[in-house]
Formats: sequence, structure tokens, C-alpha cells
Amino acid sequence: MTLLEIMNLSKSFKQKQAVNSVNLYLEKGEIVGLLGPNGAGKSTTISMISSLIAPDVGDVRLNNESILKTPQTLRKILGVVPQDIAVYMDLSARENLLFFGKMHRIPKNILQKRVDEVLEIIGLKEREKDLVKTFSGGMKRRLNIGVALIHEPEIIIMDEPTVGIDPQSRNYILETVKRLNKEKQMTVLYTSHYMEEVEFLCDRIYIMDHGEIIASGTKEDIKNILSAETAINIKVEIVKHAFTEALRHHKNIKNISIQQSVITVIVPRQVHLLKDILRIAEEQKTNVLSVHIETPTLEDVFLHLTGRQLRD
Amino acid sequence: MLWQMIKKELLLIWRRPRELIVLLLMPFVLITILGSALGALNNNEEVEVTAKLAVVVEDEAGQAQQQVIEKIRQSNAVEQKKAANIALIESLEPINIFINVVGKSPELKKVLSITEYRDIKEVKEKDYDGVLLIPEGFTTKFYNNLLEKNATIPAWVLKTKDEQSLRATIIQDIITNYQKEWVYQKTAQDLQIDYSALVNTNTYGQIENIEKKKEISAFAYYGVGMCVMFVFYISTTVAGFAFQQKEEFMYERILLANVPKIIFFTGIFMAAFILSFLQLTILFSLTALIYGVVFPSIINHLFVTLTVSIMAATFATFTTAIAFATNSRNVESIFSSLIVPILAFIGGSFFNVSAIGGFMETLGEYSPGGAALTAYLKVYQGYSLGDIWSQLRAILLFSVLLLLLSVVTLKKRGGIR
Repeated sequence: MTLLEIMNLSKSFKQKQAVNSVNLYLEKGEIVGLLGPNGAGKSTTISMISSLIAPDVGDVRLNNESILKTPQTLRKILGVVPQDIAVYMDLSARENLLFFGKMHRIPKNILQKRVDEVLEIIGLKEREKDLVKTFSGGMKRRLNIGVALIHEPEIIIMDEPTVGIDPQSRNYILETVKRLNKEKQMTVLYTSHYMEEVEFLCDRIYIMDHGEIIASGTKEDIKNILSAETAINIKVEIVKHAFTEALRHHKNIKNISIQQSVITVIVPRQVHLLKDILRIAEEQKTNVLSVHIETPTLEDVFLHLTGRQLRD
Repeated sequence: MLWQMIKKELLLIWRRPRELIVLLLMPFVLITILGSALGALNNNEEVEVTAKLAVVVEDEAGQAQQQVIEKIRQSNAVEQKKAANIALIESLEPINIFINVVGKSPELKKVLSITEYRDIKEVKEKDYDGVLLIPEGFTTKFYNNLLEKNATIPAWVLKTKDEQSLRATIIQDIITNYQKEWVYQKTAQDLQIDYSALVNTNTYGQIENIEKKKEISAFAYYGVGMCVMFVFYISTTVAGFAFQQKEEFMYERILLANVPKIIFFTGIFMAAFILSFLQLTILFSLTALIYGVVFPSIINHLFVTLTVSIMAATFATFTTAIAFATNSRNVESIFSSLIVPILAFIGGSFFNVSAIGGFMETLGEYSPGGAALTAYLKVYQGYSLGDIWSQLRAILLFSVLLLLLSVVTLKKRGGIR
């Protein structure tokens, strides 16, 4: 059952078209990923979905009813985790949750219990009375999520909620999102720079670039975009410009990307290119340390579709 | 919900010691420094200015008096007239009266010091503000002028070092008044009127005392001046906190909780009002306890404080509205580092700008800071609320104008739906 539907949403700022005819939907109880490099239009889309800015064109529909004129309906059941840590640093974790709980008009007798529950969920019960400014980055991020959960929303939009935190806190957050989805049937729209997070969490994925949705579907659907292709990872001692250029100009190499000392090339599955790669390496005096052939990942698909790394 | 909004703002300020120091300690330190340093200048203390006058008497007054008396005795007048004229001459010694009676009177002693010489040469090397030369024959001419209608008018010569100086003016005024006194006496004599009766005329009707208002000490002036200036810093601080909430997306979160914008801004207004009221109360209490600046009417003081707090609250709301509309942190900096000092200067927080007169006086009196300062000082001097109504009205009008501008600004460019 479609809970939230975004139809033909567009927004421009002055001369720049930030979002162009975006369509997406969220089914009740699913986790949907929204991927895109910086400046792709993800945050503007999220702001329009969450009713903070009005679209130029298009509609946002909750249970098949437009909420553009009455955003209050959506806001009641929506929790938003902004990319920035939007909590009061000079208040304690409990004070922050109490404040936002009161903003959501949660009755006093319920609020204390609800705050305790959220503190348990985000694992900050022991530090509830400490001022947020004394927290680590990961703890602040957890509280950032906690504030969005205080009114038990049905839908939660998370805009890169794990940016800049340690792996332990990141895992905690991912597990929490998964648990909320499973136990409370919470519908999640999740944006991230980390492909593995999206792979771990999401049932369906939208890929966005230059303000448009360029691909969508389940993880498998997306990966199938590159089903006819193979990714070859070549680890070299030193990445030489002449070597990468020679690979780039090879007629069967569709795409090339470089990460530290690993060069990834996308080639048609039926073509056996290993011999050619080793020959070019020898010609360009490049010392190949290892070659690994694998089926494409979401990262490879993203690269294929946008020509950019996700973190570019 | 509104109370939660206010409570949050108060907590945020309470937990930032730097802001508290700026808002409470700094004005108090400035009151102490300015009150002590500029106390002597503004305390209405008397400035001692004593003019030094050398009186060179070339005339033989005693001898002249005897000669005139002898002349009266030998005249053909009737005995009764002769006796009256002799009595008059014996009672009048113009040079002696000027030097010893007028010059040494307790009132004039503070401003005039007279040294008597017999020869002008003795004065030449000395530093005097003025020299009065009484020539030979002065006393004789004086008596003749008094007794005869068409006699030559006696003349003395006054020379001052610098005619425009305060000391020279003092000397000139004293001598002019002294001469006028003799002219009145002479006129009365000619008209055969009893001059002493004129001078001692009884006053008819009721004597009404004009109530002397309390003098404003330097501590009182700067106590009020700094309070009025620093109350605007409450406004900019609150506006700064409010904009930080927009920058860091807490404002968006509040709106996403279906809280109307008006509640957020009312929270800003109320928090600024409470903080301004607390700041003013604390500062005035400290100034009263430590420097004895006590307002005679607590009710009137409270009334002005409430009005000024409303003004500070609207100023905070307006600053916040402008910052939100322009989406710029610079707004708070411009207000706190430029507009508030200008308002404080025009209002007279640093010195009494109205003393400049003209446009500055009017501007100072009706600028928000100036109106607040005048209202407080008048209350301090014991004026009633009716007497300060024009200042209170100016403050309230300014507040209403700022509120209207805030509403228009937010309606036009609120930033968020």
C-alpha cells in the first residue's frame, strides 16, 4: 500500500533547476534509499517532501491526498533527521527530548515515559542529564535521530544520519533503523553517501543526479542494469597516468574509476580482457599487484550511471 | 508550548557564562568606571573661579569728605537741610564701601579678591585679572553729584586683562552693579524718594517655593545610561540565539512539529522581555545598593522598566525577523556592533547629547534610548508619570513600529512555509 507519493516534483532557485520532475513513492513499512552525489538535489527533495519548502510544480500525496495545502497532516506522522545535528548543545539529552516532545504536544503524563523509551532506543540513558555539547559526534547523531522519534512517527526521513561518526556508532544507528522498521513498521526514506549502508538497509533504491531520478528499483533491479558487465579491480604499485589513459581508450572498457591504488574498469561480461590489461601494464611499465574480477556492486552501477563516485 | 519556548531561551542564556558576563557584569563595570572617572565633571560640584582685582586709590577719600562737609556747613541752606546733607555724606564712603563692604562680603569673597594700592606703578609687575583706578577728586565729584543736580559725574577706570574671560566678566558685572546701585540712589535722592524704603518693600501675596528636583549624580546618570544601552544587547543576544536555531535547523524541527511561526517569534519576544526586565532590575538594584542611586518612586521606576523591556523585546523580534529574512548571521553583528552603539550615543548613554542643542537634542530626546534615559532620569528626579508620558509614548510608538516591520518582513520573506 502506497503511503507517500511524490509526483512530478520540481524546484528551481533563481536560474538553477535544483529538482526536475522527480517521482517516487514509499510503501508502508519499507526502507527506501535515495542515493546521489553532492548537489544532486536530494536535500531539496527531502525539504519538499517534508513540507518545509513549496515545490514549483508537482504534488506530495499522503494516502492519496495532497498535503501541499495542509502539511500539518503529514507533519503529525513524519520524523525528519536532518543532515546537520539539529539539537540544542546547551541542553541535556533529556531536556532536548522533552522540549521537542512538548512541541509535538505529547501529553505530560505520556511524555516522560516516551523520553525514557527513546533514550533506551538511542542508547543515551546513562548520559541523559549531560549537556549535549559534552557528547561525542556519534552520541550527538544518535540524539539527532532520537528527537525525530519522540512523537512515534510512521514515516521517518533520514538525511545522511551517519556522516562523520565512528564505525561503532554507525553500526548502532543502522541496527536501530532496521529494528524500528521491523518492530514498529516504520517507513524510512534514507539518504547516504555510504553505499554499504543503503545495501544493508534498503528494500528499494532511487538514484538521483542533476536534480533527476536516473534509476530506481530493488537492489537487484539496480544491479541488473550492469548485469551484462563485469567489474575488474586492478591493484597497482603506482597509478600512472599513461596506464589509466591507455585503459580508458581501450574499445571494450566502458568505464574507469580510481580509488587509491585500485583501478576499476567495467567491461562487457563476454569479453575476456585480462590479457589486454596485463599487456598494457607491461607497455606502460606499471607493476600490477593483483587483479580481481567481480560482479558489479551498487557503487559500480552508480558510477556507470552518473560517471561519478558517490562521494564526489 | 509558549512557556516551553521561553524556558528554552532562558536556559540557553543561563548556560552561557560569556553572554551573562557581557549582559550583567560589563555594564556594572562601566557604571563604576564612568561614574567614578566623570563624577567630578558631572556631579554639579562648584567650580571655584576667583577674579583678582587691584584697586589703585589715588584719591584722598577722608580729606574729600571733610572738605564737602565743611562746604555744606558754610552754605546758605537752612540748618535742617545742612544737617541732613552732612548725615548723608558721613554715611556714604563709596571707595571704602566698595573695597571693604562689597569686596569682602561673604558672597563675593568666593569670586572676587581685592588688593588695594596707592600707586599704579606697584601693580605693573603683578598678575591681576583687572585693575580699577580711582583717580584723584573722585570722592569730591561723587558727593557733589549726589548733592547737586548738574554736577560732573564721577568716573573710575577699569582695565581687564581679557575682556572675554570669565574672571573679567565677573569683575565687570560686580562693578557695573555697584555703579547702578549708586545711580538708583542718586535718582531717588533727586526725586526726594526714600531709597531704603524702596529696597525694603514688603512682599505682598504668598511666597511659593519651586520644588528643587533631585540632582543627578554621575553614578545615577551612567547607571541609567549603561542600563539603557545594555538592554539592547539583550535584544541582539536573543536574536543571535534565535538565528542560530535557524542555521542549525532546530527552527525547522519546531515548525515540523506543527508549531506556528507566531509561537516561535512570540517566544523570542517574551524571552527578551523577561531577560531585559531581569537585567534592568538586577543592574538598578546593584547600583542602588553599591552607589546609592535610589529612585524615589518604585512604582514609576517599575513602569518605565516594563516599557523599556517591551521596547527591547520588540527590538529582539525585529532583529530576528531581519536575520531570518536575509538568512544572514551578519545582521546580529551589525545590530550589536553598529546600530546599538549609535542608538546609545544618540540617546545620551555616553554623555548628555541634548547639551549640544538643536537637532541632536530633539533626536536624542525622542530616540528610543534617549527617551528611555530621559524617562528614567526624570523618575529619579521625582517627576510623576504624567511628566514622562511623552517619553513613554515615544518608546511605545517605536515598539509598535518595530513589531509591524517584523510582521511585514516575516510575511514577505519568512524563508519557511
